[in-house]
Amino acid sequence: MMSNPIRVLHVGDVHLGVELYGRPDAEKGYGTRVSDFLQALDRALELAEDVDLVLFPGDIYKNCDPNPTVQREFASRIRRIGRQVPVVVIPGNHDVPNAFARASSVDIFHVLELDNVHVLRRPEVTPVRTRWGEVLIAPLPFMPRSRLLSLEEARGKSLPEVLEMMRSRLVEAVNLMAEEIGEYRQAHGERVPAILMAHYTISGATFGGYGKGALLAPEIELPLGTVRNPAFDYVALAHIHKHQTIPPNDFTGQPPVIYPGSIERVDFGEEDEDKVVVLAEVTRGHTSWKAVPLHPRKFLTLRIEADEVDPLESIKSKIEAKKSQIQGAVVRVFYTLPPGAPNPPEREIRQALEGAHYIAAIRRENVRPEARSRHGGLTTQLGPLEALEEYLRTQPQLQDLREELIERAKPLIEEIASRE
Amino acid sequence: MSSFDPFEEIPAASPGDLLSPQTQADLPVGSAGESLGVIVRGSLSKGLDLKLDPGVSLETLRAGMFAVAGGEMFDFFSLVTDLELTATNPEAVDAPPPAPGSLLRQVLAGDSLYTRAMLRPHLMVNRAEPDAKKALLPVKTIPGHFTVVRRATPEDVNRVFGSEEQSPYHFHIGEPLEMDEIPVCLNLEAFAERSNGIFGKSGTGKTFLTRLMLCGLVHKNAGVNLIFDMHGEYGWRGTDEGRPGGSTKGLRELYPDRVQVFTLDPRPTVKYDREIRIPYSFLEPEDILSLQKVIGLTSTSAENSYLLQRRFGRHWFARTLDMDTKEVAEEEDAHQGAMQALRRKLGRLQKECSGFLWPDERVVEDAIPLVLRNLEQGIHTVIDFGRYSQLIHYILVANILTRRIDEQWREKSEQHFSDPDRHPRPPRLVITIEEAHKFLEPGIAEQTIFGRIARELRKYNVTLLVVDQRPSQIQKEVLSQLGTKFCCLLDDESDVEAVLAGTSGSGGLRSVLASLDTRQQALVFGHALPMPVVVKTRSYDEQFWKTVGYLPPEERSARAREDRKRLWD
Repeated sequence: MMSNPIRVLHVGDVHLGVELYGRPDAEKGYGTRVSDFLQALDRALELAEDVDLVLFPGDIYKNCDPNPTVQREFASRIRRIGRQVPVVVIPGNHDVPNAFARASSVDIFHVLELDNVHVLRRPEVTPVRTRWGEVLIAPLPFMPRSRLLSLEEARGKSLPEVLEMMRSRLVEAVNLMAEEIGEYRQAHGERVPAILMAHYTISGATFGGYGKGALLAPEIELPLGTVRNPAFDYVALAHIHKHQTIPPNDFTGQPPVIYPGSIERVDFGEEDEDKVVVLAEVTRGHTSWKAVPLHPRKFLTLRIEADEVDPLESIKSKIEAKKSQIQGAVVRVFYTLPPGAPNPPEREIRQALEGAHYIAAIRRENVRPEARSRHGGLTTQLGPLEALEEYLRTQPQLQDLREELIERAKPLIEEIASRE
Repeated sequence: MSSFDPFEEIPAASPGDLLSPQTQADLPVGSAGESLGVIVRGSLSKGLDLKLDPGVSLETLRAGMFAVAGGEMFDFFSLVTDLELTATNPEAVDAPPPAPGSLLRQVLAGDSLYTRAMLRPHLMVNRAEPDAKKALLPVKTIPGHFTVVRRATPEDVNRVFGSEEQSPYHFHIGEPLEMDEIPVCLNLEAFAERSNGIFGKSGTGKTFLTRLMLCGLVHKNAGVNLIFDMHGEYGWRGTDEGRPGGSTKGLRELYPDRVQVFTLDPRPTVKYDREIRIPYSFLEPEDILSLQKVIGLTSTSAENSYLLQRRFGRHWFARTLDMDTKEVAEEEDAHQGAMQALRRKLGRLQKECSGFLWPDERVVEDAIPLVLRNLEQGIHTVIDFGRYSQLIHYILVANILTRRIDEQWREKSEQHFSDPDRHPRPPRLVITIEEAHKFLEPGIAEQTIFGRIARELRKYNVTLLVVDQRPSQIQKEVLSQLGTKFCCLLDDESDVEAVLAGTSGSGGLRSVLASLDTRQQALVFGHALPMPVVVKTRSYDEQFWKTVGYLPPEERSARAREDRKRLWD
């Protein structure tokens, strides 16, 4: 019996509640983008029919206060799946509130004690029963920095020291679980497979278009050597939206260390990324896996060098050439025109984009946008506020608004930072 | 005056006194603070002559031990550099008295015959100055005739070298000679500020000493380490030469969360965290230059690689392997023989390094940025060479990696200097290299990255920890830039000479160096210490590990268990 592989469905960041680039849908009570994410989730869960275990390593929702409608949608799915196969969820950074006592957005499933749905909130090895026997889950949920700061020994430490301490504690947590798995195997049999689920960045991971946000507070990175511990037979990760293995393109390494990536595109940065979930067959000592595509909503950026004589016509013809790709896509159009030439009417460009799911932007670029984003002073070394200031310094047309923009940005940045 | 004084009237001694001369201050023979005798001669340039009291047993003195001459205003901290038997009346030694222990022998001892110790003062301590730091002064004068000299006390050692409690960077490296359990501390912050050297012939404990210092740097957060670990001594496990087949803990085992091992030779028998593959295009002509001796190229041939890089661009190495040598030589107007030799040697290089030096398209993960990121985040990194432990591999990889680091640290430092508020300074980086003379010998040091770092990179917060058995082969300028030097026993006269060059009082230190034990003893001097000192270095053992932050696995587990309650619930 034990030699049967455990078939695992590993779903990455679900991020229900993202409304960006969507239209409201009164009938459903949530926007079209939420529908996109739910559909992607449904496609993923179709695969659950043929597996023995479903894993969600964090970031179920967009934030720790998901609206009741979105919660209902996820809850009903989780309940349904839970009737067929065990489901394991750990909280991710978007799920965990900063305040100590507040519940995370996934705690509710824990409280309801849904059969077969395991919400694991602390790094403690948990045996989960599947139809092919037990599998050990070692969960490493996201821990907000504020919690570490509440410790006596963190007082008065500098930021790098706190990060150091955080990494050290996380590494210890993983090592302890590996040790406990060893003990468990001694008592219950060496063939019991084990899975590490973690919501962290592993050193060497590449960020996709989304979440390049190195502008935010510095991230903890866990060494690959820590998670690729031979005690584990599979390492199920979430947090990074781009699907990848660590190290890259490592299709045979054991245990596999995998981010499936987010199930839907969140932003244009992910335009070229495939969205997948991972199906793995886990046995003690050897795991094979494959990525299953999810067909997410298309995102498309059109960069057009408009013709000076008849700019509208040239833009329209370029759009026409991409007609099939535009259908159902979230689209943005950047065009360039020599200085002095008047803007073509936006309304007509919109018409030409008919069939797009959503038009995110139609913008005239004086400089090629890539050139601008590569402004030398803007580096990942800057904090968000500094980056804004640096940007404003290079934008003479915004000088009058400078003070006000900074004032308004401050609370927003603080809010985001505190959420991290 | 409490000591022997030839001008003082000597009270008539009872026969009993003669048989067992009274030593000073009722201290047992050889103990700390015991008075040794008085200064009878000396000069600022050559040091002091100490006439030993008759009761002092010569055999309790050692070259390299501390003695303190208590002058009128200053205490002169000195090292014993030499010992001598001498006689006021040469005839006394011409006719040796009979049996040992005879009365005649005792009569002669301390009168016609006496013993001398040569002292080299290295520090003056102003007794009137309450601020311990300000009280320490370089030696600019000497104490007068008949100044009493005593053995150093624990308080003396403490006053000079401080204690671990004194600052977060004071690190206990060992004990002075003949003074067990008195810690000698070194200031690790000052240490990491400059490049340093650990020297000694093979088998003298260089590797243990290096481990000791690396642990100090990790534990005290004085710098982040990059270690080019040629023989697999610093990563997970290291060898313990003291025991046949013995092994000891490496840094990765001591600090599982702060140290990572990158390997060039992934193999099932050894634990590591990550593999390194280097694409061909990372090679630079500079690497060939530093390898010229190892692969046997003339400098003309080696310099042709610049020409090839100009011709072929970034992928010059790959293209050189495939080129038509004759055609290229003709077109470039280069010497065909030299070009052929270069082509052949590059072929050999490629073959010897084929385990980790790969064509660009085969390398899926560029591990070098990961190493850099690690270092930036303060994760100490050990580069494990495995079976690629020949010089050709070592020099090549160390060069390539270090060049990248150099670029990045320079850039970040420049950013920091131009706008310190916005750009934090990159962390202090200490690069450990073994067989350092191969990187730093004259003719190579001028042209390669390591020579550059040794000479100037201190400014960019990168320093070297040079481990070597042949310091005489290292370029003089580089050697003179080393801030602090640890010298275990060196046999070769030229090595001794090289290590001590430019050090004040080197004459005295030479004899000290020559009389070191073969193991676990080192003469330490330079920037991070107020004066030279001979130490019995700490043992690299369980007790040491505990003091440098090692938590045994069961304690780590216990803490992690505790954390579950404190952090996660």
